[in-house]
Amino acid sequence: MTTTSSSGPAVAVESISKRFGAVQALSGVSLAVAPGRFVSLLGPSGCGKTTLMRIIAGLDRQSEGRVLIDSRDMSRTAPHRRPVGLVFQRYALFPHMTVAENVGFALRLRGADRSATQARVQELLDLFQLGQFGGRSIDQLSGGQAQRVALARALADSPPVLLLDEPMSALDLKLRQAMQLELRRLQKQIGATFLFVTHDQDEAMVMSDEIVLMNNGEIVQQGTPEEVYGRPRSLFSARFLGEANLFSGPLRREAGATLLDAGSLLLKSHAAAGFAATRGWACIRPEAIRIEARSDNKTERRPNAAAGRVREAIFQGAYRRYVVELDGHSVLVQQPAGSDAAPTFGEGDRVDVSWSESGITYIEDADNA
Amino acid sequence: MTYGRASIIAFTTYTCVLLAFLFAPIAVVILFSFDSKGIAAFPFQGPTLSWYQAVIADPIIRKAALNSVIVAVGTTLACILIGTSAAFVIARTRSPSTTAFAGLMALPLLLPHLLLGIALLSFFNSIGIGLSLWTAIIGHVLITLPFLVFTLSARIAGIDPQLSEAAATLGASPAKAFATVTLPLIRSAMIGAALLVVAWSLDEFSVSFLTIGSSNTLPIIIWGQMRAGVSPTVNAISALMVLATILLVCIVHRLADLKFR
Repeated sequence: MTTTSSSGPAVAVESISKRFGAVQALSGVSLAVAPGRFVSLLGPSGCGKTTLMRIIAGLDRQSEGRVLIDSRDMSRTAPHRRPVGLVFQRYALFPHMTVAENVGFALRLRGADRSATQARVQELLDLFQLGQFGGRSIDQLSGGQAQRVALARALADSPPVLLLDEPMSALDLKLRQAMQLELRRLQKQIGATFLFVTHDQDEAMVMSDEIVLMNNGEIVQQGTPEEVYGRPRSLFSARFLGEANLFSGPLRREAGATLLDAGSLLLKSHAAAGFAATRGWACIRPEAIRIEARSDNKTERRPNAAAGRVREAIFQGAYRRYVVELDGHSVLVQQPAGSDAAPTFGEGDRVDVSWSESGITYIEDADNA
Repeated sequence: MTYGRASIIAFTTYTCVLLAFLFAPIAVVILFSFDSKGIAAFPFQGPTLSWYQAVIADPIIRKAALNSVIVAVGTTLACILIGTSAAFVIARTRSPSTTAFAGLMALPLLLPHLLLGIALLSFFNSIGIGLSLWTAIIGHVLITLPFLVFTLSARIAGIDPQLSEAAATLGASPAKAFATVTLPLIRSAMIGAALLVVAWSLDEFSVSFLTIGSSNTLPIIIWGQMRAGVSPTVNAISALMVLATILLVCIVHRLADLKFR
């Protein structure tokens, strides 16, 4: 069990910038991670997430800004004096040591006594279902086993903060999905703060208490998976996390409602009172769109509804997806399959699509990402 | 693919001729070091160990052998101290200056040793350093350093740099990380390279001759005695040096076969 000495954030970075020669890898990143949270740094490759993690570990030195771990300024502290563990993407297991020697490395360094080290190593090996692998050399391990050894090694000395650099990327899909749940359970069990670097949005959503979405060396949005997915604040957020139907046009206010005029479509929401821009985008997630058989032949424009024709119908097991051709737009619709109540449609069917006001998120036009 | 009988015979013959060409002269030297006749000529007259007894009893030869060992060991230690850090730079950094540095490190391999020896001799003279075992060691380091640097850098390039970072995040200071992770991984390459340096230094003649001043090493003694004809003592010294070299090579092979643990 790990504890922190104060109630402040387990890890905080303040205005961190990092330049590699002419390349600006991070610009003015600030972030606070509360103790015991599972936080994902999510973003496309090259967004600076790994650099930020390496700066927190002390493996790279920030050009500007401060790093605080457990409220202590560790901006200039050498990596071996920082109370953080790190699981490397390629695991970086020591090839000249057995599995048990790898796991016990931090304890031996600290000078822990032999029997205590052995007991702790065995405890970790058992925890990761590696009980009988202690004497193996590391080149006899499968990818999944090597990853668990890397985790066990990083956790051996109970660091209050564990950094994980895309540790699942080398595993196949099934194993990855199993490990995601296992890792999340483990984190809740030991109570340490996990900072997880990934470019995989599904992985981030499955595991995280909080997602920190990064792009171009900056934090774009931060919040729970529900917040970041449900209320994207930029086109980048809307597109990077999940799929989005996006409509652009001028915005106007009318009796407490905000309306976006996208040509043949009119979007209307009462839930965007604070949104002041005069042009912008509306984001609607595919599962927020209802699809029904065409009920009449009315053609006048109604808010939050449109008539169209199914261009593609795709069955995906748990879902049915439709690409519906509207007048000048096309939308992606996703419905749960398997429910008897939901009617199904084929290509060429004439349909009505509609959505509720709460399914609309307005995004300012400033972001052209 | 299978080979015909004729090509197998041809290939076997070729191999035997090649091996004979390489090793017959050495075999002759060793053979005559056991011949009681006193001049290196057939027919063989009868085995004796007296030349070996003479070699071992001769104080000048013993002194020269000791000098050879001192120079070889000194050269090897200096190469390891200087060369290890150079090997890391060459293996771990990518820049035009590193490439230039690696090129300069390799240069002594290409220069004629006689020329290097003459250059060192006039250099030591011009700055007023008296010739001794020390100057010979400097000369040997100059020539053997590339062996060590490039053998080691090839090994270091094969080690994931993240291993040191992993050690650091697990609480190892840079010195501890080197001692517990990097050094064990390069140890066998380092010993192998060091033995190459030893073997080379023991054999070196021209640079030793020009930079050692009034002292002797075994190759210099051999050269001196050769001027009076091929004596059985020279054969005995040579045989002993061949034996020492073979032993070193066997150790190198044994280490190269070992996995890095």
